Amino acid sequence: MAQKIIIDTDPGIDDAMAILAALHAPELKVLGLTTVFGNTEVELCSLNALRLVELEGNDHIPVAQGCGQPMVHDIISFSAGVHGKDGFGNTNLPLPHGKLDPRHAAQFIIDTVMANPHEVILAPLGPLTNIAMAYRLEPRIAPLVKEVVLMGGCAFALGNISAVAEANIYHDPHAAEVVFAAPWKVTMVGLDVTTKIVMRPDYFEKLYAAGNPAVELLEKIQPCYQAFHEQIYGLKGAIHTHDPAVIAYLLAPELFRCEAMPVYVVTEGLCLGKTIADKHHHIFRSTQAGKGIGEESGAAAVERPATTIPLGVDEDGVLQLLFKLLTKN
Amino acid sequence: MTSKIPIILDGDPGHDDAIAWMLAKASDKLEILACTSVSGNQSIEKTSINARRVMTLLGIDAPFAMGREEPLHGEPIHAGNIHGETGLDGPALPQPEIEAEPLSAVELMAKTISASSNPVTIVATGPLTNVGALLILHPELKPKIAHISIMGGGLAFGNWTPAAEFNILVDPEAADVVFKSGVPLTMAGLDVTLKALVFPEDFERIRALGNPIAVVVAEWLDFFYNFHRSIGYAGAPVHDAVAVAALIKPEILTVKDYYVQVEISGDFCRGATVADHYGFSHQPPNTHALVDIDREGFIDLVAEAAAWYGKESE
Amino acid sequence: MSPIPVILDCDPGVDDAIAFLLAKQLPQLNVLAITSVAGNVGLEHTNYNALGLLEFLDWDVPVYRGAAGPVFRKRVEAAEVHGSNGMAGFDLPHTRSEVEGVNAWDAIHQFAVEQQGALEIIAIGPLTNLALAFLKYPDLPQLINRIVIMGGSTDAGNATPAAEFNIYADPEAADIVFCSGVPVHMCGLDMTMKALMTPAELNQVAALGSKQAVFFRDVVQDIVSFMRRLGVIGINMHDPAAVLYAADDTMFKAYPAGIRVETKGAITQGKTVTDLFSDAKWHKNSFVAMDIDREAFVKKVLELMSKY
Repeated sequence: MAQKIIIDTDPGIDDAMAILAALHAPELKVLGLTTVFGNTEVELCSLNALRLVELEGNDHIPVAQGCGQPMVHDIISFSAGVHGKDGFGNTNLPLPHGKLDPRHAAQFIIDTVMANPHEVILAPLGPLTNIAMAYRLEPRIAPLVKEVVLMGGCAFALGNISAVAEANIYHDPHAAEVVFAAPWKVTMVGLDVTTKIVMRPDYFEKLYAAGNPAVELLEKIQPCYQAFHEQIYGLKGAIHTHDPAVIAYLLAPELFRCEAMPVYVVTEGLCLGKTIADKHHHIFRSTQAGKGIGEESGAAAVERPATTIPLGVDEDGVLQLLFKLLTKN
Repeated sequence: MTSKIPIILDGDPGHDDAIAWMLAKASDKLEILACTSVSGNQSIEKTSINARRVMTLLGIDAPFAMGREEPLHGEPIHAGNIHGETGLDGPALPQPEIEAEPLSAVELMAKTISASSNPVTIVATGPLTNVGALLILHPELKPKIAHISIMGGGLAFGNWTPAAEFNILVDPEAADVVFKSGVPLTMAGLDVTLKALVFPEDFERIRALGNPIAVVVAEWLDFFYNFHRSIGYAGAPVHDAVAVAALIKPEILTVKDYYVQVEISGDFCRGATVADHYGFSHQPPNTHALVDIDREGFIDLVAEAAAWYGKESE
Repeated sequence: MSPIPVILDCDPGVDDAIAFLLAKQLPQLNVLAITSVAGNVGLEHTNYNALGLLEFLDWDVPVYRGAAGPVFRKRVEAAEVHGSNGMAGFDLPHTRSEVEGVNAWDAIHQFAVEQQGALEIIAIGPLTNLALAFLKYPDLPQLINRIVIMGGSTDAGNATPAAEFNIYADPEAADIVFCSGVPVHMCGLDMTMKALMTPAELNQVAALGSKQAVFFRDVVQDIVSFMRRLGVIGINMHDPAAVLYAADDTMFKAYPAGIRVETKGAITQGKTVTDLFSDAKWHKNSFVAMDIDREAFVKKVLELMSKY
């Protein structure tokens, strides 16, 4: 039976690739897309989400709009330089026909998880605001969610929006902290692996040759993303593969080498949005000893659950897998 | 006839929450559209049962929904030492006849506000978790929220820590969202609520009214008074009732307008409400801060409200 | 009773200047030394002004040069209040100079040892010098009887909504001082905002006729104008009130309090977090002055200034 997933997303160019790959995978059943601010404003992300489900006749998949702002901080910036003002590389595509689900994304997640207990994987590809708010609104979903497999953070790699922070976490560090502390299974597909999966111009050339609507859309929106990677990293037309890595992980976890450890998120200061992967349990020990980090909030009796973190990846394996999915007719 | 102010009561009953709700129900100026519980004085299970008992006792006929145990960020804090093990120790209360709606407090608030033809006022007498979540999830409803009357914070001092008042300290991130929201706010903080003191002669006056609700109110105050005397207070500060008094008898209150921010970080100041007295931040005021109260007028209000329940039953 | 041996740690500063005028005439105080620190303006000005004030008063007290900036932070100053030279444009030329080769924090320790535990510190600027002294000399807390500071506020600040200037200028240093173990008497804005002198009272001082009395009125005039723009008629005598408190606290109301300084908050850095009655029940490491008998204060100022 196909694995049920909800993709929480801020499309976004790499979100589009991830969502189209997921929609092409018979092993996955996408129960809905929920949208969040991030790569651009949430309203524009919702339009893009509708465009994606309509592209190849998946209109039956509901799209529920979620949070347009982080839980606590003001919006720091949209990633317009990366994804374009419209989130799709400034292509200003025709408006979608479909309508949004009337529910808030957080409520949609709660309802869907409660109706499919232990069956749904949440796959967040943007800031974690909807996920955190769904858990805060209905904590009973935590044991009923099969797993949260998110794109975000960096355990031991450098940041991509600041020296130490990955963009999705940085855009709502408080929400991320809630998600990593909550009692559910979390896998953090972060920059440790996504920057090791590089799609190069020759890969795109072959991909676009497939000629299906999915790759045609990608061909239109991708140049903006390539230009950003060229400007910052000097990648000469190549890109890091962030959000699609989540779909690859869902389908073929054996392509990833993982370790598990608790993750904490810095919610203030110079390291805002940094994900601290506490391999040697320093933070929990320091709270137990009543000194150091966490002193003010009192000692925690139980350490937070360990997050699974892919640290190594079979780059070719992932690229081939995504190629196969995206070029499917 | 002037129309009544539609309100949602959001609290963590709690003795002073219960008295606040008692004032609200008795007032002909207010129409209670919904009640919601929040985790604070006690766990969400306890505050929710208390809320339903209080609604049953007072005859508040409105939908009720439960909030959740945890604040937006961080771990819950409770005040069992003040309100007792049940969160509303003292007189025996009726079994709850009100059932919780099958949706969260936040969704009930959203539904209620969407359905109301007039903008709704929220009276928040506990931590601001529900109100903060409402504003995060449904920013589109802001224009339909006329006003939020908060018991919490203070300009000068805290009570739970030197810098922070309990309701704000429990969920500073939620409070931060509320104070930044742009919705008109009234802050009944410690500056005023520590002056809303009740003494034995006041609750004896209420007890003497004789109706069953007046007797329960007197016993709540009695319990609250004895606890506060034991830790050195002159009388019982009925904090939460001031947030309702601000709506129905504003003439007994002194108001100053400030731009107020919530400190969410720091070693000692998490949960502090910081008022800009001298305009450093160049921001227009966002808060009507209550700073003083005519105590006699306040006691009269509580006593008249308690008396109303006697007339009601005749 | 023999006078209290004190060191005046300061950042002159217009109201520091007034504090000098009063301190010299207070029989309860024996000012052993002045230590200078960057604060209202940079150290080059505060040290210069300290020397100039002593020359102007013909007062023979050694000056020790202190810290040119806070322990950790970038320096902030209050030149818009005190003028770019810290003395509202008044130049106080002098021939004397500070003691060579001894830093303020070393001098504080030397005097403390000599006084065998009787020394008190009156600190009316940022607390950098004192913090450095405590960091350098672990035996110092046992050797100082009391610290009276002008700084802090239990409520609103005057540098930010939450912080008073002297503490805001070096919050880490201030927290070191509050945690030193020496009782700190905080003369903060709660009290000093009530230590107001009106323009008429300033004229009364000037009418005493001495050059010091005329200087008293004239040096504060820019601040009087500054305060008038804020809607206050007169000038708050922050530093002088702390000096009077150190000499004789009978005209003040002070309460035991637990005080720490917030060094990390996003909007509360430099706040003196004061526990008078919260459930946290902090150790009462300090006293906080909350009130002053203003009439008695003004009378005392006139009495002291009439001695010139």
